[in-house]
Amino acid sequence: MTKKSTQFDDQTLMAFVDGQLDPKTTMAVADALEADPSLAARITVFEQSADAARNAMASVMESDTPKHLVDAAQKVEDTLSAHQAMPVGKPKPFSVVRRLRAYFEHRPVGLIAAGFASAAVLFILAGDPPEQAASPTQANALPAPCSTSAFAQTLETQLSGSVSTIEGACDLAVTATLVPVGEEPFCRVFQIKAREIVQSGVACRTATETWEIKTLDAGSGQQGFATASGDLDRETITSAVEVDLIQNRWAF
Amino acid sequence: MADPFQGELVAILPKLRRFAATLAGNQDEGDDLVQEACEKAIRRADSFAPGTRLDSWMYRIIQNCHIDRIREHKRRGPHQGIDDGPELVGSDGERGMQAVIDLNRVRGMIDTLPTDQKVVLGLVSIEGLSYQEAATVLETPIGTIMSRLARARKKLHQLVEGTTDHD
Repeated sequence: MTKKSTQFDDQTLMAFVDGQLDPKTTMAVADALEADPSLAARITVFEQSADAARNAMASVMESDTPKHLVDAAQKVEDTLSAHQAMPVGKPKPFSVVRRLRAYFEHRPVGLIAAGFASAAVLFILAGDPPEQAASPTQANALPAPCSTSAFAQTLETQLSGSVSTIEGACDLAVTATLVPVGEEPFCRVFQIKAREIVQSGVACRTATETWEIKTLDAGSGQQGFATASGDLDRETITSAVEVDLIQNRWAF
Repeated sequence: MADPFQGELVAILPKLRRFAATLAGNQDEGDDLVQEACEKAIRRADSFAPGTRLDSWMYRIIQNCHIDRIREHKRRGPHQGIDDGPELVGSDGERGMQAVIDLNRVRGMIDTLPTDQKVVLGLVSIEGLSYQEAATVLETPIGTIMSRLARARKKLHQLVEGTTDHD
């Protein structure tokens, strides 16, 4: 039985038009489209608007690129190549310190909450929420199938706001990096999904350059993130600083 | 040693110009944005992480430059600004006059969209990025990308249809 038009929301129909639905949902929308003509009208909105936007801006692609922009782009290429050729792994402390200082001058508010919300969305999109509680696990230990080294490597290198599948068929979303306070290390907020169980936690970088889990909730399907974040009173760093830190192996 | 970036940015300049023109509302301002983004990219070359897609990196810088300009514009007051004029000049010489007028009208409509919607419309519907790619460029959850894009496209459709109805 096909779904009625109203059972597909606008975003699903838009993703259908854009070819960004999974095959199963694509088929469901296509079937419904045959059975329900009113769906076509809703889909047309997203088709026509995209066509109109593309056509309206097409002429820019046909116009000649001004020479000063070509020159500027070549300078960027040269600069990037020069940086690429530099030895990697050498900390560039002054750059990062400057960025951290700049950060403290313009502290964003509520970014941690935004980060948690983003993690929630990522996992909602990645799959259904867990239906049952995880089996009891050792406190602050990764779920059994997830590779500890892959986990640490991902925290070491992955920018916040993205999800990776790590060894052990675990999805790891890094949500945010917390600003260190005093002598505290850098810590990162994450969510890990293994066997349909999602757990939220915080891991901090150790002096031996690995990542130690400080908090990890039980993954009982709870929708909130209080367990992982309840004791934290730290702000998140900006993406630009995060890029620097990752590039400099967390030296600053 | 071969230059790993040689020609890579120049090759995507037309796309960057189109994205910038979408944000700025006209091509001249868009080109200024691209120029500014290149200067910023040079200053921030040390933040370019190996493996990063160059186009994604530049899209993000252009978007940031655009937002900085809007803030500056608001601070200075409602005088000449980037969002004032919907006119966008392109090489539409081979198209009919009416078609050019229509295209300019749609460009003006795009320009009336809120900035966050315009950015997503530009990245996904015009530049062809996937939702996930746009989410990565903007460091924004994919759900937010989709809701902004859906709102932008519904609004744009309303505007275009409204115009058609009254013509």
